[in-house]
Amino acid sequence: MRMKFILLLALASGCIPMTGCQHVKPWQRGALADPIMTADLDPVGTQQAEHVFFSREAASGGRGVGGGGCGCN
Amino acid sequence: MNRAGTQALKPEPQPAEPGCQHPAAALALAAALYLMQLNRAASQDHFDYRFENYQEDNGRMGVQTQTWLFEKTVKPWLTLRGQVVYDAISGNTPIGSPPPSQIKSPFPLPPPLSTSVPTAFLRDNRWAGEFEAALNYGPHHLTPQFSYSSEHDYLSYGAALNYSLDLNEKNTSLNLGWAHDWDSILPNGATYIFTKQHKNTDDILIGASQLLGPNTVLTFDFTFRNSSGYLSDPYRGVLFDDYPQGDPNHPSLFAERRPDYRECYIAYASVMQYIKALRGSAEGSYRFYADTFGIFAHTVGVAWHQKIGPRLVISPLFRYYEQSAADFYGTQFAGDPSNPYDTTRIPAYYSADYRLSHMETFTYGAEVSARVLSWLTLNLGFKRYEMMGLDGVTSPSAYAHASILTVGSRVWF
Amino acid sequence: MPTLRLDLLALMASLCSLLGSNAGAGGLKTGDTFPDLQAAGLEGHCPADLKGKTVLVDFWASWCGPCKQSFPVMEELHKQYGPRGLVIIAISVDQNKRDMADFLKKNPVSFAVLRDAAQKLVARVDVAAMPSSFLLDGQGKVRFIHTGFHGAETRKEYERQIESLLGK
Repeated sequence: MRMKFILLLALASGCIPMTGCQHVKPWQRGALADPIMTADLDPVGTQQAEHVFFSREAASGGRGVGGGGCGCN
Repeated sequence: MNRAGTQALKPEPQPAEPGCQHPAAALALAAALYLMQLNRAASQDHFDYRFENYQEDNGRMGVQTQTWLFEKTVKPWLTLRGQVVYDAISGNTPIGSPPPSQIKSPFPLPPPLSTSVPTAFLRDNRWAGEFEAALNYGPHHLTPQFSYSSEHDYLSYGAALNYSLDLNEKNTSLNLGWAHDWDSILPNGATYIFTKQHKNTDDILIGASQLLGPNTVLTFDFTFRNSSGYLSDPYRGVLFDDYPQGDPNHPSLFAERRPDYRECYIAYASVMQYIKALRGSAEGSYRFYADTFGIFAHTVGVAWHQKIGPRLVISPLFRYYEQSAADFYGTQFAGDPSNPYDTTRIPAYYSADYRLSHMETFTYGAEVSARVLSWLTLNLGFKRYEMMGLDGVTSPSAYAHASILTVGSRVWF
Repeated sequence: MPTLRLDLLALMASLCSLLGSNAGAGGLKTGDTFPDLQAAGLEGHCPADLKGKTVLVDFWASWCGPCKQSFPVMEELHKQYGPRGLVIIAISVDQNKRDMADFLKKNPVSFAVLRDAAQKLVARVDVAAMPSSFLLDGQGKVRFIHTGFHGAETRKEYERQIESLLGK
């Protein structure tokens, strides 16, 4: 299982430069600066939602690490 | 109470003692209020408060969560973030037994027996805190983090370190993360454990974010996790068919046994796309999860953020989750572990926790966010969370269906 | 754990394919002559005779966070050094004129504000971040460059550099 995971990772990371990126200059970041394009618009809301999912589902995480544990699962 | 052989069985659970006022929250609030009055000029610093009411249907679990968070850039190279969470938990939760109608009993009992899984009432309060310091030096960003969580039956200490590197004029960002949790599971009158248990978890993340153009962000993250120690649920039991039962309405159960080691592999990808003509943005994500418990899970999420006027954003969302069952999951098991003359082979691991069954969940709802003043944003949200079994064996009554209401505010200072 | 470390090395190696060339190193440097503003096709009224004057050219945008902090500072510099001959020209790269107008309503200033609607001048200058500012001497040569705005630290540097240029 571990080898398959590593191969998948290598494949995905190799794919990123091939996705036809258009280089974005610093003065072209207007859209990216819009609050609705923020990676995590509402970190508290996301954390509360992830906590609900963690308490009810077997899978958890994937978006980041840290935040500590709890007895809810 | 029913005891069986050498296995201890769970008595009626006792409600936990109610939590008392915690000084940490008062301290966090005082610190935030002090920081707020320092500088009201247009800034990215903020203080958030958010209340969430999670309520399952039919008297099942209800959790009221309050979160206080502050973020302040104290130097151009240093941003501090702190958070305090308080959960008030109460309600009924399945104990691990199948419905009484599915339990064989030697005694003839008048029908009808309940077709719903038996539950037990639990009450608890949880305090948790997190503190992190984001350090920036040119393209390098290093964020150490410490976390703490305390309930009457669970204590967790965590440390994490995240590093990210900006490349290609910030078109690419590489991310590395590591976290370790030191957890203790504490016994009480309602648990199957009698001594303190320990659990250790390591998480390692490698990821990247890439701009595909001025309107598109793509993110990939890969996480590897391993947990070791006591990984079972101390409150849930399992039914062994050949153990003599009395009244099926009050089944005698054995403590569940999960492996003491678990490896998890997670691959996550997300895309954010800005759509100027519609004044909105679309967000899509997919997560693949696999672990050594035998669980494979797929998660798909989509959200839309729609700007309305200069101050309002409405965000509908939908999430679909599906998991396979753990290898050692069952609604009930053959044999009798307490009987040395019973020849049925007892599996090494067994659990009847419905959260390890083959199931799917749907989450759908929307949130509205309004920047009412230049320094104040309010938000309101409502979601439904529905769980459904897919194995055709686990009683539908085990699965939770919940309404989630959230109200929050952000003060910029 | 040893196996895990080997796996991590494999992951790092494969991720190095992401490290493309670091673009954008060809921008304007100190000593270069700043492009002629009159001929740059900018919207708005460009101050006419800049020859012999110390000029602060600032590239900004309504969506840029640090720009909100830099505007009051530039207004103060304008009041303090304007009478001594400093000319401040703030060039917006906003593609939406209304966004620029809304920003100026909330952050009113009395120095010259222009718009590089086609984003041609900013591309020619190839700034490394937003905001970026250039201090020019009387001959139109770039003497000091500021990438980003860092509050009090940047303000002190501006004062020191403007004094040195005006003093000559």
